[in-house]
Amino acid sequence: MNKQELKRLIDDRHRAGKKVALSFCSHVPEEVLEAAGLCHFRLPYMEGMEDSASRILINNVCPLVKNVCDICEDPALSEADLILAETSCDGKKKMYELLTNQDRLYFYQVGQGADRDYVRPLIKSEVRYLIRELEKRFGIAVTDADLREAAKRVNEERESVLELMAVQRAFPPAAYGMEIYQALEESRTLPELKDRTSANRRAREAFLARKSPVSPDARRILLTGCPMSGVYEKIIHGVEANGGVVVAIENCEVMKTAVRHFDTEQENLMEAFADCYQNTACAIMSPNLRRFALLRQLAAEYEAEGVLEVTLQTCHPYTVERDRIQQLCKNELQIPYMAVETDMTDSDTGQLTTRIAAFIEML
Amino acid sequence: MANELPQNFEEFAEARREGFLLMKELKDKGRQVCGTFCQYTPAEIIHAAGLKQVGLCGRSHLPIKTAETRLPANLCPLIKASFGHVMEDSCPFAYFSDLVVGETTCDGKKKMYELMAEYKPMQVIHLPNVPDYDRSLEMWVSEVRKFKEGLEAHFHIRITDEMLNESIRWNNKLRTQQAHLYELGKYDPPAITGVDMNNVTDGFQFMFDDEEKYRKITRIIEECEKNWQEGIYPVEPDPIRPRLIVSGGGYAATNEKTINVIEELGASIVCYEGCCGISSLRRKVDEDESRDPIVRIAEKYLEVPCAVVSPNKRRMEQVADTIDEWKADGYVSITLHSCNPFAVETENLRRVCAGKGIPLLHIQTDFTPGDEGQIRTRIEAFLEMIREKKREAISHE
Repeated sequence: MNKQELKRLIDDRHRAGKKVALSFCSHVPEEVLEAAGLCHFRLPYMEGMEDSASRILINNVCPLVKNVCDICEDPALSEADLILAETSCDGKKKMYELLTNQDRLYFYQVGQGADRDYVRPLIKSEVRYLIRELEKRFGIAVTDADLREAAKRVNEERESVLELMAVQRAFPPAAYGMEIYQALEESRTLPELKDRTSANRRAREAFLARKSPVSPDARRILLTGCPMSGVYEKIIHGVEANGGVVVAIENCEVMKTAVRHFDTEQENLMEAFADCYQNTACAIMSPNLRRFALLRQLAAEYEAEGVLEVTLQTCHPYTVERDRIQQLCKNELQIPYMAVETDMTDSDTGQLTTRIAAFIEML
Repeated sequence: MANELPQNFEEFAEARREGFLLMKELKDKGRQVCGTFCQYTPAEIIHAAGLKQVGLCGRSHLPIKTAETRLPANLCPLIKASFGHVMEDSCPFAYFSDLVVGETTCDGKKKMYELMAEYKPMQVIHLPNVPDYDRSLEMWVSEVRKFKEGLEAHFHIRITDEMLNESIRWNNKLRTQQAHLYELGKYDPPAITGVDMNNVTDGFQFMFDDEEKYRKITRIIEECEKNWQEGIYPVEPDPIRPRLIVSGGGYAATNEKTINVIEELGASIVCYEGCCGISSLRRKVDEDESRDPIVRIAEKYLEVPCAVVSPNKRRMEQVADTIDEWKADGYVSITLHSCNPFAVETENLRRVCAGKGIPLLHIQTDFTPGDEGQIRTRIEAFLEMIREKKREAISHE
């Protein structure tokens, strides 16, 4: 998506009397935003932004943080009503503090682990604070019934992502990873949750209705690591033009978010929030046991033959966690593993392709 | 008395090296040691447990190569050096630590501790991200309590409220003295140089006899004040000498190319802010013993002005106040390569300084040689700019 399209969407929602919230992280509870009647986007990498990052930020910071900074500062998007500034990684949380329009921000606090005693109470209390904030800010009321209904829609969207990914379990997988990623990139930018769900389902049906274009000999690659929206083309192309096929994507744009489920039947809704968001396999969690469990599960379910980790430069949570992921693959899963580090430019495409090709050839 | 002063300072400057031997003696006597990294680690609890506390932040570029076999190269040198030392067993303080206490401050350290736990017994304290009483005190109290219980379990001891209360009183007393040391910089000319101020506070971490440590710092403060009253100054009075505040985190290993050069080039560092700086020292633990000591300890540490919390308004207010109180003409933020929290936040400091009409110099460096020349040139230009401003201000008076 480019900013003109997003601007059009924002204007369009405003005309329909809706407020628009932007977020950049899977820790932000979508159910709350949906229940508050907001149009909410968890934005992918956006091209064509005006450069603000080089003025505001130090140079050695993750390219995604720079992109989020550009998005939040871009005059074309100044009409968005709310930005969820979550305290996930250092780079992002500190960047949010430097943004010009602080009134448009709300800081949502994220815990640093999944299984400590404080984590569940913290999620519950932060969700309550967020609800109260939205009620105050937009003069609305968010009821339990609203939250339950919203959660059903969010669940459906998550399930549609899981089902779309699941077409890759077949031999050969029903689609190229590139097709799946592109379908998800497109559906993510639809303004309504139910439209995102239908788009994912349509994509799935289209893949299943045709004969798979993927060679039965293609090596099955599990992608893991940082958000890949700004780099997926060169990475997935590197895999799929060199005898591989991406069968699963373990990152927060795809599986980390989609595997979470909100129990809409749970009597105490706050408990349901805690269950759902505690189960976030993000590298800012220490230790991040859920990611190890998720990788084990996906490697088995998708019968991966190789694990390719993609990290963005200066993303400390994921780059430091690499060591243990490598051990998991090597010692426990016994699946070949390779890590590549990249950024949003094209300058490393050749080198990346060579390394990925060599990795696949070795499998 | 005055000619004894340098000797006292020397003692602090050498404390780290001497500390190796002291620590060995303590260990031989059966004392147990807790290695720490961060201002957030509640010293009151470690002290109450009868443990000796020592700082483990790495300062050498030597173990970095070893660390990079497991850590990414693009990571803060302090994190890599600290981890490399543990991998190599090349830091006596880490070697002698019975327990290492980490905290989830920055992303790099937090994730590194997961690997360090393969080498040393560790406890990691989780920190709040939003420094807000309503939203974060409860989780933070739960973590501080968990830390206390963790020490009790690890060392098979019991830490009573009485022990905590006594420790709180003692640490408040010690902290007040440390704050006084920084307050010597409020004089014009300052009653202590910034390099000596730093040597004393840094050396402090490696002196393990509490009473003696307190006596020594008290004596230094008294002597400095007495000298100043008698007109004996550590630097010549000079109306255009730049008065600077230095801030940042974990840059002790870069002193020779940063703070030493600043003073060598004729400026005075009048105060330090940030990690180990003035704000943490002035905020005491409430001594009202009718309240739960763990809650009181947590309250103090919720206000640590570290760059890892967001939004960090409290730090910005403290910076603004410190500039006024110490009458600073300039601000130097020293950050280590890849330290996202302090480096990104420097932009916010720059804005606070701009609001106060003073310039900020941001030095990003690491533990390897090579950038001394470039840093020196930038410091020179920065100081010249401040002197020019001060000259102008005087000529307008």
